[in-house]
Amino acid sequence: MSGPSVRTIGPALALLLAATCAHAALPGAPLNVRAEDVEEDDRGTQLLVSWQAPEEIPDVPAASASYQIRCARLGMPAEPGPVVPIGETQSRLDGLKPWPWRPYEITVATRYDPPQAMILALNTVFGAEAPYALIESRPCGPVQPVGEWFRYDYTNILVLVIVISSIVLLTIYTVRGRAEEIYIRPIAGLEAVNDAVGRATEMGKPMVYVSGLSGIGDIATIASMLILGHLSRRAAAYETDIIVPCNDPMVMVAEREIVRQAYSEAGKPDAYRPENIWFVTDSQFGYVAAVDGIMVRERPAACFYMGYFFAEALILAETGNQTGAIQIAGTDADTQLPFFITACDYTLMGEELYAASAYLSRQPLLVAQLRGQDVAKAIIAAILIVGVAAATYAAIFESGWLAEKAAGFVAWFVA
Amino acid sequence: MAETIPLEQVLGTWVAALLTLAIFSFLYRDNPVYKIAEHMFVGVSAGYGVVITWREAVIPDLIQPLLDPAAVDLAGPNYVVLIPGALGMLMFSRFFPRYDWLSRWPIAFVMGYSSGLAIPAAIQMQLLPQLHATLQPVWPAGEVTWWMALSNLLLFVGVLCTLAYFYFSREHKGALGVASRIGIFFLMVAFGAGFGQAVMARVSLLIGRVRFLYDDWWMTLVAPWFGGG
Repeated sequence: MSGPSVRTIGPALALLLAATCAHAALPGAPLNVRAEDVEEDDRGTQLLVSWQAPEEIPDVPAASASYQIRCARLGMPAEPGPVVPIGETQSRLDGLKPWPWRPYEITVATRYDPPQAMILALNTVFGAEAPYALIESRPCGPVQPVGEWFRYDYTNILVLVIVISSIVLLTIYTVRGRAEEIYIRPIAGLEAVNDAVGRATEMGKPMVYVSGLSGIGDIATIASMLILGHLSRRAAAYETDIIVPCNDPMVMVAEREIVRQAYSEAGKPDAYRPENIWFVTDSQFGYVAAVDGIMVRERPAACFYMGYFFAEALILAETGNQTGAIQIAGTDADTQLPFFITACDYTLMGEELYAASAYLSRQPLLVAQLRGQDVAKAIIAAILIVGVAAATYAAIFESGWLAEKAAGFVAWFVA
Repeated sequence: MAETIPLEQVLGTWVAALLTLAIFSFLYRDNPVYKIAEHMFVGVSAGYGVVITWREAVIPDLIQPLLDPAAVDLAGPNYVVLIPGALGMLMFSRFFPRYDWLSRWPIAFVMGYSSGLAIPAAIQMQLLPQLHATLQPVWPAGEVTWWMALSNLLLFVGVLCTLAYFYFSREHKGALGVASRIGIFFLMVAFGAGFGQAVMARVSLLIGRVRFLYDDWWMTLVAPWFGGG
């Protein structure tokens, strides 16, 4: 074997390994270690560690030297950080946490590794990681990165939030007085909701309503609950049972409130049956197994799937289809829409689900909001047209003031 | 050989195989075996959910930040968690009909903050990436080839027409009508591709389950009893 042997380098490494146990600044250890927050990191996850090179780095035969940054939470053992070549005197530590997590203590060590041939030999023969030696500096800390209240790289998001929200609010303000004049294009799935209630009433069978598998905070679930409110009012008027098995306990509580309110508004508070709205399980397929069983046993006249769905969409819709129920689905889960389109009679696609509440209730506020969203969509379409023209111009005329501005306009939309 | 397999693994495989067959029996019709499997599944998953919530949410997010901050790497007790803790406790008011209105507060809080959070998140995760991906040159120049330009043009037209389909407050007549009809065509092409992809994934899941039944259960545990395996 050419090059230094284990016997040559072993004592030197052993000596240095023993030296790492001592906590004082040893000859060869980096000096004046400092760690400070990185200003441009608004998240507060980075520290800039700098140090001064030792006056003399002890020469260990055949070993290669570098610096290793070590980072420890206060009172915890240190973990190895990045390795920096000799000659450099600063490095960034990433993936840290700001207050209220515990601060850090940073050390920088001069690190000696055996030559590559020996590392390979040790790995092959002993199956273990090759040893290395550290001469550690005095610790620096406690120190912690600082998170900012505002992330400048998200400015474009803030601008768009303000612009789109302002458009919607302004439209609501200007058109809510004449909301009944606003046209809403027919949505077939929603036209069929009343037919489904009528069918259930005629057949004397219940309806099953599934409000998706996402939580109460999801926009699709909120839209679904608004549809449930409308459906419950119709069901109460015709005294038709509506079964609502829930996947989320908070959704269950909210849906009970909505249905109870709907029955009260329909003038039939006594017909409200809270036992028809219950929590099944939050397990995806456990829930599906239960709902499938309900559909097969109860043989509902109509099934509604409104909300956010995952892989269970087809299993639910297929079972409902086999029971012969009229099925109306609505989801903004684009991956599940094909299954609903295939297995259901009517499907509300994406934003049609959000538009449903305005369409069904015709409440001035909701209709005005829908109009506001349409205005925002028109502006987005305009941005698309201008942006594609700008990108094409920038590609054809690569340089020049206008080409730079066009490229800058396109780059502004990077998330 | 079945003798060399640990007992807990043998039991686990038998339970999994029998429950799998019980669930598959639904393909024939609803039956008592399916009902047993269904009720076990629902009961076990609901109980498991409670344990997970306690261990993964209540302990690390509420109890440890208050009583043992070092365990979750906190510098000291984080009393802010008392606010969500108190809101969560209000959900228990459902057990007392006289005070069940209190449970509306945590629901209102969650719905409010989730809706607020959803707006910038939708812009960051959906609107901006899709806008930026669509803003591409539609004429060959520089590194953009004819093929790429055509692809970009198709994407641009598809996005614009699909957007037209979701325009609700104007009758879909004239240019808007034509655009929305092209938009629905693009949507159906996308759904068709998605449907095919998902069906492939489901078939692969079925293959995995059938292989478990054949390899891990039948060939390993059952067939040796009949001199096979």
